[in-house]
Amino acid sequence: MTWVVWRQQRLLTLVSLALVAVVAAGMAWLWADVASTDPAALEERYDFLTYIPMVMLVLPVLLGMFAGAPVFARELEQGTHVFGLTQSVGRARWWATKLLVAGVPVTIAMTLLGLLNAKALGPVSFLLSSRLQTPMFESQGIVLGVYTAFAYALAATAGLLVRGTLGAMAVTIGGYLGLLVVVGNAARPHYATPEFTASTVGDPGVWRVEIGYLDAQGHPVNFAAGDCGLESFPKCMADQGIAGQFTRFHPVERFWDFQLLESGIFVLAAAALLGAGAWAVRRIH
Amino acid sequence: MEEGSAALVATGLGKRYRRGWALRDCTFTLPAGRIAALIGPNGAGKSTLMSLATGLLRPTEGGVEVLGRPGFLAQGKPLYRGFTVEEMLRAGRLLNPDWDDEYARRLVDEAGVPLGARIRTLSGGQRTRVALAVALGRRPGVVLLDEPLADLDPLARQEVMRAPMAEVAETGTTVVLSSHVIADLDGICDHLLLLSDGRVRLAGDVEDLLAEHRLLIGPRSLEVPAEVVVERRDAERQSTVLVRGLADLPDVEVVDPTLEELALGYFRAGRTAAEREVAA
Repeated sequence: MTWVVWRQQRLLTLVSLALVAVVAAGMAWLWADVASTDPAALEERYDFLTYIPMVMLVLPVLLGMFAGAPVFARELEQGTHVFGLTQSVGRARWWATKLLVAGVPVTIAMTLLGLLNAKALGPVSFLLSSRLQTPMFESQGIVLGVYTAFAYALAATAGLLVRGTLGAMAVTIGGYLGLLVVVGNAARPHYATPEFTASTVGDPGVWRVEIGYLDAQGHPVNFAAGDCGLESFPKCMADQGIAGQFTRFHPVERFWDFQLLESGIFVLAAAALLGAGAWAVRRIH
Repeated sequence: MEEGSAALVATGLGKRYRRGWALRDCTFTLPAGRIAALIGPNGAGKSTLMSLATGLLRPTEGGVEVLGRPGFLAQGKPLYRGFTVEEMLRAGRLLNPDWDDEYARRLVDEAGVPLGARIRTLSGGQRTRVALAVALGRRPGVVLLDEPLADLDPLARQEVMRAPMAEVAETGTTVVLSSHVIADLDGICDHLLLLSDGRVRLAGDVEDLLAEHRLLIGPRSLEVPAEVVVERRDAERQSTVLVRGLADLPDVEVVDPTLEELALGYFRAGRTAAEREVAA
């Protein structure tokens, strides 16, 4: 069974792995280059850094989708699932073997790429954003593999339900972007209670989730800049009773904790999708 | 396989889809070692019956039992298009513990299909022979072939099916062959299973069935006892009546029906019966 699935999927898998290998080679070069560059010269040297998150944001959904959408949908389109389901292999085993053989290689490859990225981007992430924040958070660490696995599970299950490769791809792109945006904006800031400091934080590595003003008693207050008129800003602030600033932030040391929590959410979502797939596979004929 | 044992037994078998019943109240027994024709108009429930027999579908009511493993060749003969013939046989071997590789290879070899050819490059006839080899390689007790002739030219229909089917039947494997073109099955099959509007209208040995039926051609005033009439058509000047088990009537031309005439009579009768059911 494993060989049969591998034979069906091998071209797609090999192309995907080759793509990951090329990207990984670039990241390995970056890692070596960053290590040998004077920290003071980083900003000037890496003005191309913005392109890296673009690639890393696209890669998991792209590879997950290309591996997952056809795995069942192409069989349903061509009718070959009837062949697979009328041999001496149970329905559940047919489903599980296909899922594993088509999905595990790209998931492992993307996980390894994520770990490499964590090494390579670690010292330079701050040039773009905190490592905890979009887009640098999504570009490194274990989440790359987990995002890939989620996109794959979504595409495979959508293929079983909509019975078409193109339809499954559309569902995957929509569903994946939806979850990523919701989790990144609504859930990730709350993975831990932010640190509070009655000052501005200069460290570019931290994730500032809230910046505001304090009165003389140290309570957060609103500053109505529109009421200032022609007054100078410092005077206007003093008039409104503002005595200082505060910042709520996540320190950069929370990176791996955040990666684990985010992975947990996507793993749960993928598991739910696979559950739906296990139900759907009993109904195909 | 014992002569006279049953290869396929359906009891009150029924399948309902969201759009309605595709098959209902099917009760019949198919003797082992036969080549059975499963005929019926489009939408009669032929594919549904085959999917139920192979376990691809679960019945809504009743049940169907198959002697030994079922082998299935689905409509359109789905095979992995990118595979070579050799790889397709390997897939069959890996997916079936009791795979008879020698037999499957001989079937491909006899068809003159090169093992290195990709499935997508094969002609319709070659593809059918490979699909047949893969279906038979697992040594099924019953092999169900859903419209295997649909995409073949007339010459291939003869060559592809006749010889292999005769040989398969000799090994004791029961064959069920579906088609909506009755002429294709005439001469290949020795058993008949006739479906119309989701019900079994006729089942039995082809020769016995032909012997039991008569076509009566006479004037419109022709009177035939209702209990023997299968189907009656009244034209302007004469009537044609298909009857089952009736001695001769006076002033009537009596003809032995062909398989096609017999089948069409039952199809029309089945349609009328289904319409009455809907009305009632």
